[in-house]
This record gives sequence, structure tokens and C-alpha cells, in this order.
Amino acid sequence: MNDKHSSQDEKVLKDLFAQVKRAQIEPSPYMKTRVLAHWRESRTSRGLMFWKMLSGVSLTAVLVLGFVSFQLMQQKKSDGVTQQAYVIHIDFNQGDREMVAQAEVELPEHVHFVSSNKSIRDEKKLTLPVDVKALGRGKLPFVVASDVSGEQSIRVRLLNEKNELVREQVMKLRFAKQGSSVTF
Amino acid sequence: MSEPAENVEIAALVVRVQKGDERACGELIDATQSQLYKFCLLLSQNREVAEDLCQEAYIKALQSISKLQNPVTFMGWLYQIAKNLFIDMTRTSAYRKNVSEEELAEVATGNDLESVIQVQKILAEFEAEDRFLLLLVELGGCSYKEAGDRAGLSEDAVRSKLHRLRQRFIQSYNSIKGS
Repeated sequence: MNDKHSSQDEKVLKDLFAQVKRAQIEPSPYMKTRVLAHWRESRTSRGLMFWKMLSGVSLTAVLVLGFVSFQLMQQKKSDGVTQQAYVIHIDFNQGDREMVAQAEVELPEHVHFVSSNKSIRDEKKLTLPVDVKALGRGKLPFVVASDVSGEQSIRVRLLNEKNELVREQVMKLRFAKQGSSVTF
Repeated sequence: MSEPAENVEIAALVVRVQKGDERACGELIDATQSQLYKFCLLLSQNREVAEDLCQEAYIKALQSISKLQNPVTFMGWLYQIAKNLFIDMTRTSAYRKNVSEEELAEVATGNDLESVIQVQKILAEFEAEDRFLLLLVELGGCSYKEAGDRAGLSEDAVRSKLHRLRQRFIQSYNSIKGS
């Protein structure tokens, strides 16, 4: 008896909901238009977002590339780092070899000679004798170090036996801060 | 287990919408809006709220339709979105329960309006979660398993809860009919 009631009840419920399913109840006709407009807009803005992101990424890539290139160029311009000893060569040409007897090297303010001899280290101007050996090699070496970064000019004057000027040259050296990588 | 033909047709539309077909999007709304609106109306017991729920549920569903892995479950998924929106709405805004017969008559046509009014009256006595479960199975045609997944219950819990809800529903129906 209970089972009969129960199945009857279930049928009533199913019938009732079946009628609800069939009922012609519609939302406002404008709802569909609004939903579609929203969908279209979100798709467009998603597309725009993609292009915005792409252009943002491209711009970043260009900036990074520019920065890296600039850094590389800067590094290439550097000849050495501060507080590091470097051997500088005065090169002689064929004419120099017959005439030059000595070379006068004048250092700028923050550059100093590097030598085991402390008195030489304190000198700003040094006269180096140009012997046959140096002439034969075609170059005369001396060692310097800089205390500061930036471009430094070393003035070299080649003199003959009478102490007369044969040729003068200015060597420009660029020093980077210690810790920077340097391309020679 | 085979799916009802209606669900398969809806699933085909869902697949087209997932590919970005705007025409399919319109057809999907046409095919489902009546069922969703009735669901929202009976769940919220408020015509204006139902309209808003319906619109917001579509917007939300279409925004994340690409994530729906099984298109056959679209309707259950849509009902769940509507229910979550309704729960949020009841928490955040002044929400008026009860839809009048006049209001229903404005949106409904046909001979089955009487049934809608009866069901709406009976469901007005139920808690929102219970309404949701009953509507999912009886109106939405969801299986116990899917209803359980949507309502966060086990299949057995859905079965026993639905048994109680149906009994209560019938009792209310009989008392309305008697009076």
C-alpha cells in the first residue's frame, strides 16, 4: 500500500516538473542581446590585450637588447680596470729608431707608475732611455695603474740625443671600475 | 550511458562556442535560456533576480566555457554557476523572496503556467540549497552523481536527501491541492 502511494507521489512530482519543463517562460528578449554584446566585447578586449602584451614584450625586448648592446659597447671602450697594473708599449717607427734617444712619459693626476722602486711610483713624469735593445724590439714598455675610472691621457714625448723633440704622442686609456669585465 | 538527445545537441553547440563561433553562441542561448530562466525563477523566487541571475550566469559561463571539459554537462554547470551567483546575491544585497502570480503571468504563456505557480509556491518553503538540489535533478535532469558533484554531496547523500525532499514536496502539494 505504501509502495503504491510512494510511486503515485513520484509520478505526481515527475508530471508536475514535466509541466514546468514544458511551460513557455522566457526571459527578456534583450537578455540574449546583452549577453552576446558582452561576449563580443570580452573577446575583442582579449584580442586587444594579446596585442598589448605582445607590443609590451617586444618593447621590453628592444630595451633589454639596447641596454645589453650599450653595456657591451661601454665594455669594449674600456682598456682596463682601476687599481690594476698594465704594461703600455711605446711603439717606434723606422724614423724614430735612428733619432730617438729617450722617451719622456707624463702621467695624468690619478695614474701612477707601477714599479718595485717606490720613488718611481711617486713620479708623474719619467724619462726612459731608449737603448738599442728597445729600438730593436720596436717598442719600449712601462707599467701604469689608475686609481680612478674614466679616460686618462698619457703624454709621451720622444727626444733625440740633444734633448730635442722628435715626436709627441698622447695615449688615451679608458679604465673601468674594478669588478667590471673588460674587453681589450 | 547514453545522453538525452537535447543534451547532445547542446553539447555540439558548446563545442562550436568553444571554437569562437558567435552564431553558435546565440543558438546556445536560444536553446537553453527558457530552462535556465525557469531554474533561476524557481531558485530565487524573484522575477527580477531570476533575470539578473540568468544574464550573469551566461556571461560567466561564456567567459570560462573553454575550461569546460565535458560539454554534455553544460546545463548542470550553468545551473551551478547560477546557484553560486544567487548565494552571493542573497549575502550581499537586499533580496526579496516570492514572485507573485501576476508577475509569473507576465513572463509565462501556455497551459502549464498553473504547474509553475504550484511548484514555485511549494519551493518557497524550502531552503536555497534544497531547492537547488531538487531543481537540479527534477528540472535539470541531472543524475544523482552529477547533482552530488554540483552540490558537494556523495551520491548516497543525494539519494537520501532527495527522498526526504520529494516527500516534503508531495506533502506540501497535497495540502495546497486539499485547500
